[in-house]
Amino acid sequence: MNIGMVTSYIIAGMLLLGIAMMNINVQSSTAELTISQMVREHMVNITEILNDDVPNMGYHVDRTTADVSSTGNRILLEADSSKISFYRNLTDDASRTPDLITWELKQDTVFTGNPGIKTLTRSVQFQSTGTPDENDIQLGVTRFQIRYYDTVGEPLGNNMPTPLTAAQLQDVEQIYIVMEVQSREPVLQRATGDGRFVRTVWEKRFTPMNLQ
Amino acid sequence: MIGYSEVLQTMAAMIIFSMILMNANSMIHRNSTLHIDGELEQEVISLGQEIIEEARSKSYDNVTVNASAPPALIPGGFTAAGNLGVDSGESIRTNFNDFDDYDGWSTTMTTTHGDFDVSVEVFYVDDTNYQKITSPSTFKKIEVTVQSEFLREGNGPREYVLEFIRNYYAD
Repeated sequence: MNIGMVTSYIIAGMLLLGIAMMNINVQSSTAELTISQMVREHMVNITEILNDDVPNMGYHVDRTTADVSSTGNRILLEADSSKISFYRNLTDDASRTPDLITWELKQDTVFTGNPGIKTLTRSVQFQSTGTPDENDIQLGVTRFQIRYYDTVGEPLGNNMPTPLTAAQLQDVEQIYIVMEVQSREPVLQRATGDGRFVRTVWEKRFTPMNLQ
Repeated sequence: MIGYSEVLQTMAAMIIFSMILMNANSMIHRNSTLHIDGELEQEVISLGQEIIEEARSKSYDNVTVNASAPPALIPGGFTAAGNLGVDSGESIRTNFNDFDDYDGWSTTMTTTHGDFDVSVEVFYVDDTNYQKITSPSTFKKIEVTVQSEFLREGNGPREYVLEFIRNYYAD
């Protein structure tokens, strides 16, 4: 076997290895992009409901604020770092008693693939009928943190300590929510190893009109 | 050349492979850029909506803040177009009490995704074509511009402008 043949075999081997590595990288990148789109879609699905619920808290009908005599005319019933309960009329029916909406991140484990994923619950207590309706959102939420502010425009770090007392509930003017959604399974960069979860973070400070 | 022709062929293959590799790298880079842009643009929208929502919660004009009655002249009684912006004693965001106090206000907002530069402009607009005018009207427009050093266009940061038109009577 001449030296040219040997050299070409070595280089060909390197080329094949290079092609294999490149193929893995391209596939990994494409998989990550696809999963990130799925994760972001999950995030959008959740934030659409939040973007309807939170700005409309305290809504009754004809631009009046929810009058909930049994709770001292409060809009917020409970405000903690991962749980919030408030009243709003879900319809334009003036005769309807405003319903109690609760968002809460439960401290459970939903998927073994990603132990950080927890159940985010949106429950509606229909005040007219007293019937509760609980909706478990298991779309990869790993963080759902809420902060409360008693002045509009306060720096993010100047939030009220949680949980809020009954007196503090009436002082809330702004609500900041940060939520993180992760993929159920990790994206692997190599054939071995743990890989990493694709994540997306959404955060927003709300200024509900009825809290002003 | 006997014995070296294989080497030449292999070198040719390496050149072809290099070209494919550069294309693959370019694709991976484009994927990463798309991924990061999407994440940051989501933050841009949140910040813009946050400022607009906050401004909407304030009075339409300084003369309508805690006023027992509407101004005698509408829209002539509203703040002159040249005087829009913060009023006396309203140096910081927590002091703002009307919609146009945000005019000329700018800040850097720190988020999970890094720092974003936010600047705001508020002006009167015509009630028929919604173009900027220099006299008071019952319509004000807020333009929130958000920039991030990681969202670039050419050599500079890309500008994202979110707008909202507010009507005095629709408060």
